[in-house]
Amino acid sequence: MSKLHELYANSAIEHFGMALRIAIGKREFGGCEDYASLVELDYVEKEEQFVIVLKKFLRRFDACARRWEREHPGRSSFKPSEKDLDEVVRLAQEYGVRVVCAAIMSHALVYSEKGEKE
Amino acid sequence: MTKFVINKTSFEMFDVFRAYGLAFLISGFENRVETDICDLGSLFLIKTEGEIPKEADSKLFEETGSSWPLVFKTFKKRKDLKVKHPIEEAEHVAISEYNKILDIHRKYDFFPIFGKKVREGKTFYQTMDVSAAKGYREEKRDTYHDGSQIEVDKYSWVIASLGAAWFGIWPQNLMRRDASFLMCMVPNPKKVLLISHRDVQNALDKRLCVTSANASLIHYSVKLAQLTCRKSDEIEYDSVVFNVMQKTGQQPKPGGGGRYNLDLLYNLAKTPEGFKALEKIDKFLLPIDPRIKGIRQDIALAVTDFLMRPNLDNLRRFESLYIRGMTNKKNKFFPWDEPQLKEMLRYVEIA
Repeated sequence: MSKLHELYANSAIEHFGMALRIAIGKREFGGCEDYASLVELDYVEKEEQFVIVLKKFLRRFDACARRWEREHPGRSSFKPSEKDLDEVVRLAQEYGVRVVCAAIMSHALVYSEKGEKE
Repeated sequence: MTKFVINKTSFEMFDVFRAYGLAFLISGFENRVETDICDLGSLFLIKTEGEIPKEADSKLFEETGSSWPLVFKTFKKRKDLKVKHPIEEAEHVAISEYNKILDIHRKYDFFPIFGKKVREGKTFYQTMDVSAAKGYREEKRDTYHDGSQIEVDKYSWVIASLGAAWFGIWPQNLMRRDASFLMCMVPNPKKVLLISHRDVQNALDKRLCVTSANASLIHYSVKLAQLTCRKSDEIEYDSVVFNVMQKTGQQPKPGGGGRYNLDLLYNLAKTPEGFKALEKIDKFLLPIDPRIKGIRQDIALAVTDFLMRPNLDNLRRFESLYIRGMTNKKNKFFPWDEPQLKEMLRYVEIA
């Protein structure tokens, strides 16, 4: 079985993939059209760059999540946890940055589950 | 049971056509005997059950429903020509030398005879195998010349012609004027019951993606895997042999060829999720019109590259393009179902 298949099933990758899916979504559907993170993830190759790209992505995603929470009072937005971040960085060291990015982006390709934002 | 042997040469497509051609010559249009073909590595073994018919079926040389005109497309008719048209010639040889053809293919030591001049030999057309094209094997040093024709013995030629005419897949939409290449494909019969093979080929939609020769090949292979994955007791293909010819103002020129292994597609088709993934891929390969440009064309090329070499680079290119398609308002691509994508990721090779 491919390494990518194993990575795809990892929960930390799944959470980051879900976040990316939301981030690149249209504003009218609760997304924030964050194509910059998508392009950065597409081209990152080294671990150091990957950490910077993740930092930028989380900062943008946080802004997006706060805006969504403002628009939907009383509801909290989905965010990857600190544990997820540690796990993704560890996986990048173990499997390589390009494979991890491919796995995260694969999650961004699939249908979102109902109530994912809540 | 009677056995016939087709020894393989270095002309892959010619060999496959000879195997189908001989099996069809014996079984005839009405499937007079049950015939199956097995690929045993160095030879194709053709087994027949029942009494072998005494003569060839003349319906095999009718042009309706066959690709006879395409096989001999480069033959120029002239009023003063003394030789017969190759289709008439093939019919004459098959009918008058039917028993001789069967006899020589009963022996394990018969190999086709090739050469510049073969006694009673016939021109080996590039539509039967692109490496038979003129000038493919000769170096040109001082002055340019087209190169010489290659000839093959008439018995091998006639069964290869039959195979090419009835079993070669010529995508219909590549006959358009604006398509830049011509292509011929044939699935390699690992273990095939001839009648089932004919049913499958009749059922298969022959309009293929014309974005590139590789896209056409992959589109055909995807359709083939979808149709045959649940009939493995009657039909088992292991690869698709293909030849490409480039259209020019004159005769089509050789454009390469090869063999595409069907393992990946059959592995995908085994599971319900993989089968659905193939259906989705089939839709990406939709540009059957060469005028379709933009991201749909790019996706067709990316998915083709991925299915030819399922490595990380090709997957990432496909993912990246697909996400762009999903975010594009004009070309709205729908997201994937998770189990289907997961099944596809199972086969990604990581160096």
